[in-house]
Amino acid sequence: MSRRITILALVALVGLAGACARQEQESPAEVAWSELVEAWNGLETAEEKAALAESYLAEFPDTEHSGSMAGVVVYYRGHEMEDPQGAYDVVAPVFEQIEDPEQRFAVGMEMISLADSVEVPLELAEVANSLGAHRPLTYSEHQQVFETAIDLEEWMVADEHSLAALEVATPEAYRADYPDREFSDEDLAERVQRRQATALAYDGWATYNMGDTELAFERFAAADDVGSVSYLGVPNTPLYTFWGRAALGEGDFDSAIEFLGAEAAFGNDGSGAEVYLREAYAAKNGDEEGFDELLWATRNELATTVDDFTLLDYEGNEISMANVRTGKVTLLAFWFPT
Amino acid sequence: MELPRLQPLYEQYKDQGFEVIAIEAKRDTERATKFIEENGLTYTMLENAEDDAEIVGSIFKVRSFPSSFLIDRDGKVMYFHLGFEAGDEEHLEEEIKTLL
Repeated sequence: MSRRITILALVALVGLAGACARQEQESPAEVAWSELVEAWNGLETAEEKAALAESYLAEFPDTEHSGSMAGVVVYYRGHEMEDPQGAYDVVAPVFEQIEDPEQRFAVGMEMISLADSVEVPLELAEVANSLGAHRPLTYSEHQQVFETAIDLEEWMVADEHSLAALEVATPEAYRADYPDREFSDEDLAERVQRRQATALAYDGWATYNMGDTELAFERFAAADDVGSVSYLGVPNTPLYTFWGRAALGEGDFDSAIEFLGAEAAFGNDGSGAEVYLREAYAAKNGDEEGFDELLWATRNELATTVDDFTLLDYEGNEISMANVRTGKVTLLAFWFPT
Repeated sequence: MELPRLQPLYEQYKDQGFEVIAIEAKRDTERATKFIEENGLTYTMLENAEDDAEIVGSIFKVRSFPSSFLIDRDGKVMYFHLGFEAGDEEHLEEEIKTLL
């Protein structure tokens, strides 16, 4: 899930960096970069995008764009084209040629993200520590490490970096991460809450897997107290998924069903909660009969009415949500062009 | 990308009362209109407002894109979908058919 988000941010970044690169005197790598950005907008397929990034990396392995280009290769060749070994074979030699600790971290993390399907002789802790020796990691970098660590079941690394992330989940650090943007106090507080709740939820799950059940449940409760919720009223972190799975592990099926039910009811948010909810339900009832009804009932119970709003269309007409949707089934989609 | 994949769903189910409202979050009007035109998107396309009037982050708390909410005939938010990959529209179609 986070990978899909990353790639969107990355594509936006390609556009932005391209705009900046044109201003000053340009090195060959920068000229090639400008050309890549130009060409990128005309590309349609994963094959074309991977090939473009690969040709750039082959010629200029060690630039400020190495990390983002490695990301493009891993995403398009590794995931979309389902060729993780091919992506690894492109990125691994690039990693060897990079001096800059920032780019080594970025490329190293891309390589490790392939570790579920490819043999990667690289330690997550080492990649994190080598950047850490150079400067303190930001929240987002700690998050990248602890999310990856959870995926790889490296619980101690996940624990270390989620706690470190919690330390830097502050308004000051958030502002420093986005120096060009302005945030209202309310908005900022909400963003910081989300960071704190995320770090606590992940640390709870790492701690649970390290065997300290009591401390794990304390962390989950603390994440719940921070209380960062989505528009649907459920946590916008994996808290309920982790908490529910821990409850399931302890044989507390009622709590597991309650936590996982809220998360699973509203569909694909990337949490994967439904699988565990099904398991908890079957464990409690002996079989899965009535499971779909449970999901539907949970959804109806928790669903809230959508807020109305009025925005302009591209002809300048004021369109009210209530007018368009009344009596209809409506898909409300949020997007931006990349 | 997500939006062009929604167009066939919209065309297939609009007569049964299915509506799509797409909100462009970053007010990138030029690229948005180009994208809409190039992909022949005919459902309701809106642009987020500025500052205090913006709704994407303030009301819907959307921080990740693309994000979608499916709303039933009574206005209840019944389904949330984050991200969009090939094949996701099949699952979405099932949800739409259930609600129609």
